[in-house]
Amino acid sequence: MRSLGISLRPDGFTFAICDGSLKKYSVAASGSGLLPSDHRGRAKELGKALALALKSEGAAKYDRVSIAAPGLSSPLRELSLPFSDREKIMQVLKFEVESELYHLDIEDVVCDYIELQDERATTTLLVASQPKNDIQVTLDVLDLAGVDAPLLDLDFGALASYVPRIPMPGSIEGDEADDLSLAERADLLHGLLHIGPYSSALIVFSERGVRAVRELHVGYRELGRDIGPEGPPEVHAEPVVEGRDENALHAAESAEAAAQDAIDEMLEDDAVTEEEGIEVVDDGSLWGADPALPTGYSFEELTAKVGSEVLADLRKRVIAEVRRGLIASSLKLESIVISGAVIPGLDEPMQLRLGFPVHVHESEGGACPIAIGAALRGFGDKASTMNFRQEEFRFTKGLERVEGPLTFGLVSLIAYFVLAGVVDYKVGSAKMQAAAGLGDRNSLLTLTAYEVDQLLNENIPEGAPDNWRVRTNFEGVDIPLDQHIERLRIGVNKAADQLDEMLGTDTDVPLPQSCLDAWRLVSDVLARELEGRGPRWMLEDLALTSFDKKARMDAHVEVKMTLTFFGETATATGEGLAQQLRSKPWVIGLPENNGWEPIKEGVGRFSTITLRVDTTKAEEPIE
Amino acid sequence: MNNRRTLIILLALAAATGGGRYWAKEYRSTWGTSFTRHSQQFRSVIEKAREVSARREAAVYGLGDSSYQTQIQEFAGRSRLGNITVRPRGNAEEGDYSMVVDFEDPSHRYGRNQIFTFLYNCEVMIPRVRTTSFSMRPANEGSRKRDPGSDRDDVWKVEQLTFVKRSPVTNN
Repeated sequence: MRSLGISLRPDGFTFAICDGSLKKYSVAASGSGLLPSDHRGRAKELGKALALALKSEGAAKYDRVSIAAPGLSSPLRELSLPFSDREKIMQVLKFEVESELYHLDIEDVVCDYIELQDERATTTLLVASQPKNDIQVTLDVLDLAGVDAPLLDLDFGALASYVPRIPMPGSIEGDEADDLSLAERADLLHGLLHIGPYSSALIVFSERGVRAVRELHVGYRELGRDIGPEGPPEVHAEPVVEGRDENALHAAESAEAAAQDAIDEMLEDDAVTEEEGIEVVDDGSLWGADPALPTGYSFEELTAKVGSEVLADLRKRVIAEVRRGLIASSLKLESIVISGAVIPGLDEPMQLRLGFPVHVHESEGGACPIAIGAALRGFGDKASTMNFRQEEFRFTKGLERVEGPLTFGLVSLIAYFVLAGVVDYKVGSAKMQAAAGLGDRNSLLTLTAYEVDQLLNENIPEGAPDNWRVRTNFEGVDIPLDQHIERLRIGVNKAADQLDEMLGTDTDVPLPQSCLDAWRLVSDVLARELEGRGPRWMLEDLALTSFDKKARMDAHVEVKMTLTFFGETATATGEGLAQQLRSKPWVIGLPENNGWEPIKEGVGRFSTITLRVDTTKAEEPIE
Repeated sequence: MNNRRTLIILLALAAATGGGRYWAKEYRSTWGTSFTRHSQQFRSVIEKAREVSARREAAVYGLGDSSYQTQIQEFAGRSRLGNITVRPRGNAEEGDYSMVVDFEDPSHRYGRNQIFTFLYNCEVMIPRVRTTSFSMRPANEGSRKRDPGSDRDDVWKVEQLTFVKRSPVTNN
């Protein structure tokens, strides 16, 4: 898996692509970019430069992406809660931290936290409150860069993910910590000082995790305060203050100024952004950075330009900030590691001043530790759980909003398709086997073929024509299985046609009308009309004569029958029968009778009925 | 594997399984219909085969000696009508060939089904033969005709029976 981590800064960006997994990974690509010292359109330029850099470094293809935004404008507060469940904490976090942020409207910030590992029984949280304006700026920059990241962390959060990858001083020193037990060694505190352009982060950590975090408002851009391309700054940099409340105040004021500047810039650049169809909240100094500090110079260029006095001042200032931070935290470190912009000659005076070893850390491939830490979050690292994509920023433009329901729906759909498909296939196979299973003795096809074999192919008499044998086996013939029985039917019909041809029964010469057909038709009427209801009746005689077509009369069969009906209603029954016969389409003319005469014994009457029947007009003529 | 790739794979799987399900449904429908058709054809083919088999068997008589009379006597025997005599008239190969049937036993008594089956077999088994004249009356113990309405058994005496085999006339 390729995880891209991007660290955004007010003066540029760094990124790193990590390939592999959380346990084993390598930095596949990394890069950085700087913005020129132009205070207009920074967000737009930053987005474009980032897109270009990702493309040129082959980092445009990745599986996951995580962002580390600058934490300059995020006030940090420590908070203790009696529970540790993230869902519950997030429900009360804003309420709990609101009283600490008296200078901010709680609705204008998004809060998240990382859990600090200390000795307290309660859960200690380091709460960061990122202004929504800054989140929007971050998202606008990413939008311009074509990156849609679902995970938005801060720089110190990414560093919290990175610190476990820093070699422990035990392995650096080799022998100093060898006498300690594993538990004692796990409690040893170390520090990571990452010096950034506008601020630095001091992470105090042990093997158990992050113990404390301090955002130091001093960065290497302080070196260029007096050499900016726009001359001596009109706005003086605000003093770096110690203490969380003052830092927060500083950040809030910066954020407010940044927001106001962004509105002004947007009004001016309205035409440009409209043309490009992208709404950008732009600012001369992004994320609350000091606008008086020039951005066009890299760290190396700045150190080359300034004199040794300026460098020494910055060194002193950094060391003082670190010392003050550690004193305020009442934490004793075993060692400290410096990463980022390592000011020349910083380690030795720092070691002297702080009283414990100071090492310079070089990350893999020279990539920015913040970017690597952000990339590690993409692998699922849990050192920092912060994600400022909350509230109105919760959803990305991608599929994240519907990812869960969509996955559930698709899995359900696949399960349904598979189950229904299997059921359909099984039923279809059973039907196929019952209908045309060639190996099944009870299939309809096999039974039909067997019967045809028995009837037509077995015991063919001697002297019979050769073509009397009907083909019943179509295995190996290239026809669909369900057509075999059709071929069988065609074969049997062909045998019938051959027989007709041989016997001369296929001619068009009309045959005499059959007395048998006429008898069947009349018998059907008698049975339907008389049997089971009405009086008893009796057929006395029956005579049938077939006549060919004559000039005045079509071919027909004359039926003459004598019927006896018993009972008082004999005449009516007889007349009713005559009525029924008259209604038949195959009766020509009207049935005649010679009157209903009484029988000699008992009560009843008899009569001889004569009618002409055209058997060809019957619905189902006998063939 | 990221979520988007998972979704794409799931979509592809859904499309594939959907296609499979469609095929399975068609397969079931096809063989459902085919099974019904097989059931119908099973009956019709066997009936037709039986008819052809019987007609072939009957045709063998005529193939050997053109003796339609023999076939009629054979069918009378099968219907337990006893011995009969067939008096032919005309050319058996051309035009109308009339065959008058006389029952040797003057006091014969047959059920209606016996007579009907005999006539049916003659018409179906002998090519181009039809019954053109037939009459029957109740069979009596003696020669005296019974009065209408008197009680009697359902047995009959055939008084007249004529078959005609009609063949095309050849113009020489």
